[in-house]
Amino acid sequence: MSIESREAIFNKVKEVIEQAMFVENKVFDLTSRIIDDLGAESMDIACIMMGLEDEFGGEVTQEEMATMVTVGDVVDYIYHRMDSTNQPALAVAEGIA
Amino acid sequence: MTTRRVVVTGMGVVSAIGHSVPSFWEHCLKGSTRVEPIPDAWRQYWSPRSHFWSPFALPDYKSHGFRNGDLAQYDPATLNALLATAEAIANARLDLPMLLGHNDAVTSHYSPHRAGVFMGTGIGGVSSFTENLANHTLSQCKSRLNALVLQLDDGRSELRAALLQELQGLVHGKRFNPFVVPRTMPNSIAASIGIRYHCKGPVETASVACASGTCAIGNAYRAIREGRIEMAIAGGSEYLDEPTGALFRGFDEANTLTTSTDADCCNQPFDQQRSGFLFSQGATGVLILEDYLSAVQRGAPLLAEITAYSESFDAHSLMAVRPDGVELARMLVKLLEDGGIQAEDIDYINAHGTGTPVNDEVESRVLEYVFSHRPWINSTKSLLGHSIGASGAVEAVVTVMAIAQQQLHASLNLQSPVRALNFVRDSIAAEIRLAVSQSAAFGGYNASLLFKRIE
Repeated sequence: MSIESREAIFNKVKEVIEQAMFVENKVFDLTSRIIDDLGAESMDIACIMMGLEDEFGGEVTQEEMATMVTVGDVVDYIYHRMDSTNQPALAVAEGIA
Repeated sequence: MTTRRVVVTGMGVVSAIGHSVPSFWEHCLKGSTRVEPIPDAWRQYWSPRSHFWSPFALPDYKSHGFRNGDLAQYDPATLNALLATAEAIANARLDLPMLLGHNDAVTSHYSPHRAGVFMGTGIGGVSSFTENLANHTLSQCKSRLNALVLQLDDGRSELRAALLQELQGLVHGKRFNPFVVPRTMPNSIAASIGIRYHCKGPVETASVACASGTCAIGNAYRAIREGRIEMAIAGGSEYLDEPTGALFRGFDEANTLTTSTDADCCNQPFDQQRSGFLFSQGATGVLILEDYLSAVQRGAPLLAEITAYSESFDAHSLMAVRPDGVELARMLVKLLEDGGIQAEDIDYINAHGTGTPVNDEVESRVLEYVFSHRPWINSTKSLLGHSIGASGAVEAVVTVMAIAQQQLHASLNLQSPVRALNFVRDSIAAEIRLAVSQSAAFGGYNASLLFKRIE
């Protein structure tokens, strides 16, 4: 499976965040801060983490999530994990179950 | 103390035979039911005495506007309650929009502090708890065992295949959900409704097993009658899903479920051949209760009035109704007294009617004793099976529909009634002015509501 473009990843991340929390009527681009601009609370962050795992596979830890301030940070995180594994982002962490 | 009249102005239902009140009521009158053999996979865990259940197809939540974040945070018992609440509010023509996101702006006929939520549930989000417990205890252990089994050399291929087969029986969800606590909390159902609809009056949870829904509606009725609030969202919700059948097994091992081998008549409330209740995977019923004058002032639809609520406690057994039925009878006498009526004024009784030998024996004897004039009696559980904490709420919906539509659904599978009472054998039109809906619960709690036609 080929590495996805940043644009394709952004579109998927946008869908994940829109499915995780209410972001209508808010500016949503790479510079949007997840907490300060989009208004995410801790429960929303947990939903975003689960959504990323569902969309891209594997596990996103709370420590990793804490380093992502903007939507662009999330896109970079996914992109670099794809780049480092040349695999669908996080699939190497999949369990047998 | 100020006492006010309390009316039902809207209702919502999610059930195995309908995901809205019109659909549900149509199927009630048709005598629809859903009975299926329990999944074969369950039988690898124990040898069940009961062979049938009433499974429950969950609604398509996304088509109702729920997001992945909602599905992660809410147990289906809560999601179904939110759906039923939305229907009830729409039917009541209440200006009370569901809030999305962190938004406090809301218009309503009622001040948030004069609006309450009262929901009943037997075991709350137990499905979420068991799902995450299975992940917690099994997922890593199963991965390690899988790895060990795959190390067996080719000479042990039969053992390897047998072990892999056994490992398939260790079923668990793919992740441990960080929302397991709020999903499991029984009060999440009422709290989620309160949050979504910005109700800041009492937001309470009644958990008295099979009487939870009736108790919740009763508490809401009292809060409005006493003038503490003007509007309440009240009802019950239950969802009992577990992929290995453990929740079903709990009731099966307690000898409470039907042991019939005939799917067509395994659910037989008040029949001499009854052997236990039909396990329901879940249901939800929600009613909007309002202060009568406030409801009239805003032009609300008036479906029925609640004129009394009564409860009693057996102090006898955690799992069986008191054999002499004295507390059940006392509850009904008190209900009539509080409603200011005589027993012979009652036209219809929606009975608890589970189909267990002991409940139906005691309940029918009490009904025969208290209501010698023989009002109409039916069991909604003959259609739905027993949905535990939701049952009283769904039966309250049925009772209100019976009054509003002047129709009664049949009590199914009644070939040889346990007593010569006036059971509804076919769906009929009937003049109903006063009706009782009653519940009796594990633990010994009894509860009943008195409904009256709008006059």
